[in-house]
Amino acid sequence: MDVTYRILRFNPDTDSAPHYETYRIEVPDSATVLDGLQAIKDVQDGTLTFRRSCRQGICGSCAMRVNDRERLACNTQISHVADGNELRVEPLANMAVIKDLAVDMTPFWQKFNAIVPYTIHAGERPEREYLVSNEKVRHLQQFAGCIQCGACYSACPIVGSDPEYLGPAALAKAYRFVGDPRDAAKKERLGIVGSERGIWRCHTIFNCTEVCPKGVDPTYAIELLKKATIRRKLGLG
Amino acid sequence: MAAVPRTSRDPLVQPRPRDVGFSFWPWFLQRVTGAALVVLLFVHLWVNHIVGIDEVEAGVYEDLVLFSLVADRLNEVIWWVVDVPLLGFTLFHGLNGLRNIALDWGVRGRNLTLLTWFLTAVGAVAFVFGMGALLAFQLYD
Amino acid sequence: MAYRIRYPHIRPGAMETGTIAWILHRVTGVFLTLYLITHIIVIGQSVRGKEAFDAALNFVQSPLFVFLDAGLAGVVAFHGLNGLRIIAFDMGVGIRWQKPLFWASLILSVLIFVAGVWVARNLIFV
Repeated sequence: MDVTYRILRFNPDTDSAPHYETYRIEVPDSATVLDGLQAIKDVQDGTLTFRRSCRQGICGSCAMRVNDRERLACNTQISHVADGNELRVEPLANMAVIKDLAVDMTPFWQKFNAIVPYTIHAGERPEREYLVSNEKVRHLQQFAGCIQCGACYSACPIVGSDPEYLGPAALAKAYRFVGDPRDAAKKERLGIVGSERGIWRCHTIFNCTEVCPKGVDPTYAIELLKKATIRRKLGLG
Repeated sequence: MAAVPRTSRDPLVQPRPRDVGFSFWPWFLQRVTGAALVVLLFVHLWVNHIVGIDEVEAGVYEDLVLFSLVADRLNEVIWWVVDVPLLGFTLFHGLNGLRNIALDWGVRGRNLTLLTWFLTAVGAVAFVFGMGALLAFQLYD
Repeated sequence: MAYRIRYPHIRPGAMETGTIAWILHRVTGVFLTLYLITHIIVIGQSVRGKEAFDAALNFVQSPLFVFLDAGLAGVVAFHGLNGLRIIAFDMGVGIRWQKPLFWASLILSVLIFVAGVWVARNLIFV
């Protein structure tokens, strides 16, 4: 099929402002957005810049805005999202554009690290494995499934308006540990997310949940953090 | 069996941010006052705007809200139990809401402190003035 | 400041339910806060005595204002009902029904406005 890509391009070294460039390509009917980008780069314009790696929806590199919605380019079929035969492709929002479709994820990673994204043990190690119930694992798996693609940060207006806000991915990951019985730092973690840059900035807009390609549902995680904080502060356990 | 060592690079060993302290309460009280206001405002609107419509239509009173009618109501203590929290909760809920908007826009540090004091002052003045207004119904009667 | 796309999800005509709910809740909240201050000032005319109060209140009970009061009731209803929806989420309840709960709040608020106009119809449509 014939597809027209309108891509928002910007090279801060040479361009004065971002601008759309149009490319027409022919791709198989089942092609993904990433397939098209790769074809454009290979054949028409080698200067087009975008991140990609696994091309199977697990590395999180290729998150971008396609026809006004955050998606992974590699698992989005052109035929599913094209407007007629047109695609408008833009980089993720709320993060500085390095070049074309690649954005600066540094604040994302800083906020991710700020919530201490690893288990803190305390006390004796068990003889064999730490036992966690099936229900608990099933519950936590959803929040552990984040591939750190950044789509939720692009979708969240509060990430846009408050540079300090920890954001959906970091907070969902924080809950993954708060809810984990093997972690001993629940009080400290709730302290980190219970600041004015944390869960209190979330207003249940739900955009993050809408765009997450892995079904993490960060809004749900943040609400669980709020509920855990209420229980702790009111002495309900 | 040794516990997992906490190295100095462990951020949980470093001086950590205050535990969920001050910032929980404005958030929580926003919900408490909000829930209470759903009831208080319903009562307030009912008593002031629904009760008495028939009399006004029949020409018994010139208006729904008259000094004498409000004064009569405020002679019963129960209405003070409704109206004083109504005044306080609405002011807290609304002004705290404005503070939240500033927080969402990244206002922090000295600017936030100044804004918080300003909103507190507005709230205090409005509350005192509102209480004066309520008392006036008793004093001028 | 380096270039970045800002607020792409705030665009009239094509917004998600959650975004609409947040914007409406915020706009009604700011409006109600400003209204509250003027309301305190108007009712505060009681400090000037019975005649001054009745004169001031007579002005804000003309048919137009009674109609606006019904509108105010609708705005209060929306902010309160959507607020209860938010409180439910904060207790971990109803998150799966976030969109229907918003539309229910909005529709109920419109009904409350209509009910208000109906109840006060003889004061509005003189």
